[in-house]
Amino acid sequence: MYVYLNNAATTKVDGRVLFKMSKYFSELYENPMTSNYSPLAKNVEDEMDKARESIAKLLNCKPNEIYFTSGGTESDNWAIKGICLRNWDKKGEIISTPIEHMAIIATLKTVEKWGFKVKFLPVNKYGMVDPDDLKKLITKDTLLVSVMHANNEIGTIEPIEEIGKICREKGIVFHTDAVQTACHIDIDVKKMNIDLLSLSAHKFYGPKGVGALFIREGVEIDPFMDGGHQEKGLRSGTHNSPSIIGMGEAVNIALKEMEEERKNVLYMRNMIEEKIKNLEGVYINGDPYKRLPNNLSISIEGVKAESLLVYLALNGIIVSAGAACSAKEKEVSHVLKAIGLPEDLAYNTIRISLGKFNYPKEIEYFNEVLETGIKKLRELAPR
Amino acid sequence: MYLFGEKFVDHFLNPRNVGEIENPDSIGIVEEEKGGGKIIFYIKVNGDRIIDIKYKILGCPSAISSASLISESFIGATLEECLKIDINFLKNNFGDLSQDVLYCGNLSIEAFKNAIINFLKKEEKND
Repeated sequence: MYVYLNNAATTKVDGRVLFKMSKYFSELYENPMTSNYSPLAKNVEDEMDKARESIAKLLNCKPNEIYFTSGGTESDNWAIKGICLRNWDKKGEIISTPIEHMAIIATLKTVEKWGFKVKFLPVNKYGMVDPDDLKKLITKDTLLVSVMHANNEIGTIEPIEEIGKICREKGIVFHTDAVQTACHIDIDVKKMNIDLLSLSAHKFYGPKGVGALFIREGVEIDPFMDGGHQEKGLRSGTHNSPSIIGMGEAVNIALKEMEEERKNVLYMRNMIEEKIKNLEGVYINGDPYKRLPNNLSISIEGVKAESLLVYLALNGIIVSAGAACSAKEKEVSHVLKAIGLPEDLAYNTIRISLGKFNYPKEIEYFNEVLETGIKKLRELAPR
Repeated sequence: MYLFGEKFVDHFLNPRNVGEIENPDSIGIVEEEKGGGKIIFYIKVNGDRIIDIKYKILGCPSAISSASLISESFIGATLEECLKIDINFLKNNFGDLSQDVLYCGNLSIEAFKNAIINFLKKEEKND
């Protein structure tokens, strides 16, 4: 049995998405920028517009507020660097969290070098931000607030609506990285007062290498990619039309099936949590209530994640670890560090992330192998 | 076959000689600075030969496989032979391994050598 439980890293492309995409590689391959005279290109453009409409429906925004990118990392880079470039002369401050994805953390380091100031909100032991802390951190120089919708490692869902409200009242641009949440839990950019939002198709059964940035009408942001003036001059580069159309199809499917998927993954996660309850020295990370339904991060006493990871993989089960074994450079994940997890436990942390293609029989098998693996590895450990 | 060789996997899944030796002649410990890993080797010596090796380990797959391989290979060996062991021992047995994997495997080599060095130091004092 091969059991893939690393859906937060990437997902399998839905067969319906692949089918939809296929003819845009070799039949309807023309550049949508020539749609004013080529009927085939017009067809491509129309399909891309449908994808834009689908994403707009998903987020509750207007289609013209959706800009296609190459994925989550580009969207995150664009959101932050685009706002900084627009405010180049006066510089200013950006407020974020220490548990953001590296696409944000690394980008913040770059704009710090550009002369912008970066401040971090504290998080509690569940990785949760307190909106009151944001109020205290905001100054007249604050340009941008960037807080992820849900954390990719521990699944905690941040109080985005409250944060958005504070930013809107103060007239500060609010960006959220929704890469882990789009097509998994509800998003409403109006209700949540979101100005910029990043999403990525391969996290919801779409193709890799495509994503989008939602830019609320009226938000002033500079382009990040210069070139042939695609996407109203804000994101140049020939459209990745097959993937954009595939992403649209993935969104359409999610709009219909999201609710059911949520129920199913939650059911399976509960199966694992029930199992864990009976195992000593195994702890669940992330907020006990406000957590992504497909995410389960666990720390296991007396078992190194790296060894459990390989043990599971040798039994055909793929999960991920909270700290990569990169020899001397061993570094605990910045997320686990920020929530104050003791270092020993951080090195013993694995993430199980479920998806719609998992089924309960697989989880029964996983539970069995997990228990055996923990027992076996603990037998080796010194007291 | 998996990413690691067959022999590596076999030692990882079925580590030999795991445990502690009651009243060992020496022990060697390596604790990782980062990563929380810990390896303890226990040895029993008769004359200039090792007659028993056991170990306890909290570590990466490579450290586990290497500890198991060491324990299997060096029971009956002379102390001098044991002190010659280095990273090539892992390469010769497990085949091509990445630098990371070798690093972790080497922790087990160090723990084992520490046990021998500690034994020799003790002997020196007694002399």
